[in-house]
Amino acid sequence: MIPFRLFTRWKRNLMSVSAIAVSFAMVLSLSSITAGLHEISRERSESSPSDLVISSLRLEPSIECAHSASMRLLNDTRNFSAVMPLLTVLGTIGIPPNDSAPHPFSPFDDSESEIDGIEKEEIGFVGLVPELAEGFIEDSTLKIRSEKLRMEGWFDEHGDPMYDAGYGGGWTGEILLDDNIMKEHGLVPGDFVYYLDPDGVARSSFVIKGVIMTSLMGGGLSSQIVSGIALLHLSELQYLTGNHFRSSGLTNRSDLANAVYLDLQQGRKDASSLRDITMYLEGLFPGLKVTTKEYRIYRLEEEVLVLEIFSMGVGLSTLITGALFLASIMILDIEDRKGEIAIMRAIGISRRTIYLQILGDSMILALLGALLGLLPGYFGSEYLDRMLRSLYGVKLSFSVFSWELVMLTFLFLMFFVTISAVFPGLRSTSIELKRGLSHNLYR
Amino acid sequence: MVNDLQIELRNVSRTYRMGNSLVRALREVDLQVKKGEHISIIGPSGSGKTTLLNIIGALDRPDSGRVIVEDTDITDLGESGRSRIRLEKFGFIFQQFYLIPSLTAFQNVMLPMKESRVFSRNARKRTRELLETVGISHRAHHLPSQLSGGEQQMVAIARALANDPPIILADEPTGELDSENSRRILDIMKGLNRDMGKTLVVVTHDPEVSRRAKRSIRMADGRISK
Repeated sequence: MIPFRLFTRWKRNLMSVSAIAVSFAMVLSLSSITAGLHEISRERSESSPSDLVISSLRLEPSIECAHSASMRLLNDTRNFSAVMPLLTVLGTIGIPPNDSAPHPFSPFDDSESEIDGIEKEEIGFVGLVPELAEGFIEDSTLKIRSEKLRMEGWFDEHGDPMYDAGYGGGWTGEILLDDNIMKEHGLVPGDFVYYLDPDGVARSSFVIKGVIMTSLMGGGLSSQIVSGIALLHLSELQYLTGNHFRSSGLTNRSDLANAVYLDLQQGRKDASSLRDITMYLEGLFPGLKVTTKEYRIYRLEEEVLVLEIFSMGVGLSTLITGALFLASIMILDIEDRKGEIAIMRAIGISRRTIYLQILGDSMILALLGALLGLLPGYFGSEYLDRMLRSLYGVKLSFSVFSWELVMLTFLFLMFFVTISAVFPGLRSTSIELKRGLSHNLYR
Repeated sequence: MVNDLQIELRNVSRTYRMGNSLVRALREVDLQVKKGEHISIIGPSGSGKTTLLNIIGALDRPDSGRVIVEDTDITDLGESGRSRIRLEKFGFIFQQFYLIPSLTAFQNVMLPMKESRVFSRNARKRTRELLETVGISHRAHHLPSQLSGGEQQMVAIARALANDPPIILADEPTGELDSENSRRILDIMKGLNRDMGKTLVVVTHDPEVSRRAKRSIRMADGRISK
């Protein structure tokens, strides 16, 4: 390589380097967010704890007789090893002041429900039947299979006595609460919290039996849209939210849930069995959707793909703009270096060498730009990450900033720089010798 | 006899377009230069001297006729072939020196060797030797703008010798120099011919330069007149 003269036109080159740095930083920030979303989606998909999910296509709980149907399915030991109905609703939890006296009561008590100094938190309530959920818990660590979701402490009552009593009694008042909320409000197991209805009136007290370590969760965007989650007995949540029995016109519905998770017996997880069981379940639950893990992964990836395509489009356009800017500057530079190039040609330097020289100069400028854009790119991705976190009010990280990502972005940059350097390169080799030699060398 | 010939021009013509008019720079020129010869080409401005030199040196192409250098017909060679010929067969010394302004004297001399893929250590050694030969080694790491005209021409001579070409082409090599520097340059060039056996073709206006050559060719109106 012939020694280059980048810094003789330092102002111009500084502009090129800055343009590349800005585009590199932008692409890096966008790519890190895209990679983050992809990672979230992948983790979410892979950590899905069950082989099959029965769910409705509507947002409100629509699976009728969820508990009883789950028990029936669980008895089908040829096909299913674990079945778990789940009711998820958004609601408000009330946290009393630390120094307040315990005030236990259930919806069946005729008790004073106005409590002073209560703090409210919007959270996601999840209703489950402990003994059925245990089918998805691997060991004594209370870690839900495949999820980075671990519990410290568990329900004392493993069954669902309220359901067993036909929603007429057996209230346990047990709750497992998010560790973030526990920390934030200085709560410890054994403390009381309250379920508040939409008017802010406490409907029932709950005693904290365990902590859900959500801070260990790596993924799951939708489950993190709220500031925390709480686990309750399914029937108690159904009762509090009116999903134990719902009458609308001529239709009566009871024991409602959003989803039923099913795990298949070993030997029944092959594609053919999955297809047969899916059809069987669709027959049992008309109007509901039965999805496999593969389908859920496919859907999530499809959703993330749209975002990926968008940010790739923006990123690539930015890179192309940066590379074209650099190419324009190189063309200007070649005009100034006409004389120099003509001398090189005159003493026998080949067109190929001169072309490679221009390409090399472009690449060095791009490399400098990339180095300069590295830190702004990192801080840009951190900023976008914070912005998205505050937008969604979640604690998970949206950004994945890795060296692999930096290298990939750099390779894309070099690709576009190489392509856009073709024109200045060709321009430099087409300089007419005689005209070039008459060019003022010392401009 | 044929083997002695190093440069041969057969019936070479070259016409330029200047605005709306055509300028016939060379008209059916025949020229033969033997190995180790030292010839000068003289003549008034516009007589075709530089055009002739450029055609010999593969810097320009004739409109008709043939140009043969060391038994190779270079007339129809492609651009890469002509570059290779310029690199290997010719050393150029120009009136305006034509050094690369952003490179030091040392780098300017190294340049043709880099293109010839000479091993870097050998290229550095040869560059030092050449700069010493022309007496400019103490200014090796200066830019052309920091050198006097005479020093720049010394560097240009060193560069012309970098790949040890058999032929040196010089276009008014002393045209921009004072008499002291001119004499030094001419002495060095004489040495190239006498001691190194280089074939020397010099275009000049200067009778002193012409007198030092073994053979002088006079040009007028694009033709060799003597």
